[in-house]
Amino acid sequence: MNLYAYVHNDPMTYVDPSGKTTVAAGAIGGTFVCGPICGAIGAVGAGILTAIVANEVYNESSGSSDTPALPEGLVGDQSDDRAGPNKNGTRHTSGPLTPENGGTGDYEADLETLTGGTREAGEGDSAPPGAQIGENGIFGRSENSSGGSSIDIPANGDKPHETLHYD
Amino acid sequence: MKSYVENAYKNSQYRLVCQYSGVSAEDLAMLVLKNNVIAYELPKTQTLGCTWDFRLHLASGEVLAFSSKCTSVGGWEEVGSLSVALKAIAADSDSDVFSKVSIEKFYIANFSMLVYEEENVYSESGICFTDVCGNELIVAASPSPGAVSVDIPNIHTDFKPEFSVSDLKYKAMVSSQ
Repeated sequence: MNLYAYVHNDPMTYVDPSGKTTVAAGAIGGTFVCGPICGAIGAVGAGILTAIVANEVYNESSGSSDTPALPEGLVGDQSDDRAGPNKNGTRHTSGPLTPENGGTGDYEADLETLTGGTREAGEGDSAPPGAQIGENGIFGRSENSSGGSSIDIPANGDKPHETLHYD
Repeated sequence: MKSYVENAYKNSQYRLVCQYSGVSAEDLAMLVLKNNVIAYELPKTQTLGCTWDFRLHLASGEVLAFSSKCTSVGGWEEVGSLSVALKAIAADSDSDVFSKVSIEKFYIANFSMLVYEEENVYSESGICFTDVCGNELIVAASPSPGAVSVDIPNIHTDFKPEFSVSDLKYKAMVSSQ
């Protein structure tokens, strides 16, 4: 049985959230790609589709429905001369979260946007003592050594650790 | 406790020396030389490749805990440096949080600081314990602020320090040989 016929055998590119219409995965609610020809393929495919959308295409959840996933690309402002990779390329330094990623320029608000909520890091947490950490591993340092605040986003795949700086 | 080295800028250079807690550099040497590492420990949710609380258990009963500091060296650039704390012998870790792993005894014949140095930055980025066969157990600052990355002989680790070890200088502390 071909479980992916309803998405033209390409479940990474197309999805079918309604069970009637195939659309490009990155354009849910937007671009119409295919007519209703796939609608009768069945509920088995729809169930698999749900899992694919939840886990691989949207990648929105990190254990809680309110927890945003780790960004898959740089999300901080790169326009400042101080932005760029560190001396060994293992960490990327950026400015504040960009508006297109929900940034406001305010450290507290942007940390909330990126984490969905934080608590103070304690023993066993993946953050320095005193940091504010979210369930997705993103943490904020309200006072860094340059006198400003920072939001640290762990590496994710090929994307290096990114530190967003708020002067 | 600050997550960075305070007053690091001196004589036109950021000097990020290893931070010691509960033990001095000299006492650390006396403690570890001719001692054996018998186990390591870290939070269950973390890996040797990147952990914020790495602990070495010595045969004499002491526990050394490693983390790192992350300090600005101008502009937004930050560099990590090592932090070492001596834990109380009787301190039992929360087994729900930490995982302790016994290893084949690692005899510490000597140890060195691993130093990153350029014109305006000096950072004691890691530490290297060496046994009589030349095997190295390395703990070094990770790219993630506050964390370390660990390389243990004969154990697979996703060792990813902030600076490649080949870019670091070995600064010998003392040797028992």
